[in-house]
Amino acid sequence: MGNYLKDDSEEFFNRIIEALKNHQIDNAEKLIAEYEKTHQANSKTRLYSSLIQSMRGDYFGAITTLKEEVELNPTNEIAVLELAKYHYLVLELEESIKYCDQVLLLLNKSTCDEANKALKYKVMSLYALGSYDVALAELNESLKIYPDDMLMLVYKGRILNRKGYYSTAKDLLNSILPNIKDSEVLGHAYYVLAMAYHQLGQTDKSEALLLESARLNDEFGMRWWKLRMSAEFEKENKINKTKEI
Amino acid sequence: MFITDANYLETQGKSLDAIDIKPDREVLPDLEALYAFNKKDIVLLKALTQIHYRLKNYAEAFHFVLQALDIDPEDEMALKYKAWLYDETGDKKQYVKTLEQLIKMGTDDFKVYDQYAEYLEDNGYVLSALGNYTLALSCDKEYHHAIHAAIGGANCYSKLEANGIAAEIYDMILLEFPKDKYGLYGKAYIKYLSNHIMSSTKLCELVLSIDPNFKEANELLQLLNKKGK
Repeated sequence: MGNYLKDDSEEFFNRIIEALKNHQIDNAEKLIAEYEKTHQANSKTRLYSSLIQSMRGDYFGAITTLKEEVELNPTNEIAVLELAKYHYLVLELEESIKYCDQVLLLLNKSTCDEANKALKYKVMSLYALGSYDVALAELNESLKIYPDDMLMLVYKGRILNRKGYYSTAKDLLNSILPNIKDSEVLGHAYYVLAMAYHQLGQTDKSEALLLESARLNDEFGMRWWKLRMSAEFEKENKINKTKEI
Repeated sequence: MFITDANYLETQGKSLDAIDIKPDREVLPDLEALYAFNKKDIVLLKALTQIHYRLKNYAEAFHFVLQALDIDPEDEMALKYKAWLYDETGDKKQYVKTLEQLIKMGTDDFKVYDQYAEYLEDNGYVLSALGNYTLALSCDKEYHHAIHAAIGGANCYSKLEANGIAAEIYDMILLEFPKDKYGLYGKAYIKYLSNHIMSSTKLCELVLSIDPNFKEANELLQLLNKKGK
């Protein structure tokens, strides 16, 4: 792996990292500008600049900066992975997949953190596109290397639901729930499990799980729960109107 | 009604209570009497705005809401009325500007995010629209309008070609609202994109049985019929 985060101005960059850790985005930006007065922009400054842009919510700006970096250093796998991530976040899914493949090629099938992340973005992009079968095939390959990746296991359940294998999804989710530590992933797991139970007609179980998912602020769980409440509100309204008549 | 310092608060309280009970035109004279006595009461100014807004006296409503905002430029309710008034009177530019001001202030009003999302979507800012529809959903405390934001979100995903997610949301909508024409149409369109002509046609026909004038569904059905031949 290329060492793109090493530089002789270590102390200077430590100050940038510190500023970013404390969410002092303006300060970090000033430090980079200060650095670039005496040094040429390099891989490190471009990576930090893209990070600052993303922290400001400017994912498209981050993509532009990272593309400059990748043009100059096509083997910088960190920049390529970041490109995959931001393209996924702005739902440019084909582009995300392209950069995921590029990372995997650069890492030559090694089993590092970056490769795992690239596989994740690829699966999530394929899922978002609706290529459920391809996503499932990639995901199963990924699970051979990273069998305990909870997010990927939850995605597997989600794909199984979309393909109508509710019982398999339910069993899978129930088996992994106790091992999920991350609350965001847990919220999503509750949503996927709630959907499986609902489709299997076990609505008492799905109700409780859905509520938990919404409580943990999972986007899909929250959306479903609010739709459910809205439908109930509408039903009540209709009953009241009938009574009035 | 004769207003004095001594009876002002009591009269104001009674008049405000009457807003949601009595017809608007019956409440108005008391509110106007109070206003003649005290032109700096922001609660009263907002009440007058509300009544005139409901009576569609938009010029009058503007007159009062601007006075309210002179007293407190960041009063959320007054700003919301200002936004809806701009919307009603067709000043889209000021309408959007006011929505943006409310969002910047951190409002948690469903309608603000939902309407802003709709504006963004209509103007091609689909990704930002998606974010605002999601925010709208999370703000929908009374769950009355979730479907609008959910449909908006699904449509944005679809426009961005994230059809897997869009399909998932349309299905979710149809789970709770099985005859929602927008949900059915959205699903039909995705089926069409993935070349499932038969099921897309059936869904289109179902949409048109609910609303025969649904323009997009009619157009899609024509396309499907051509493909089917």
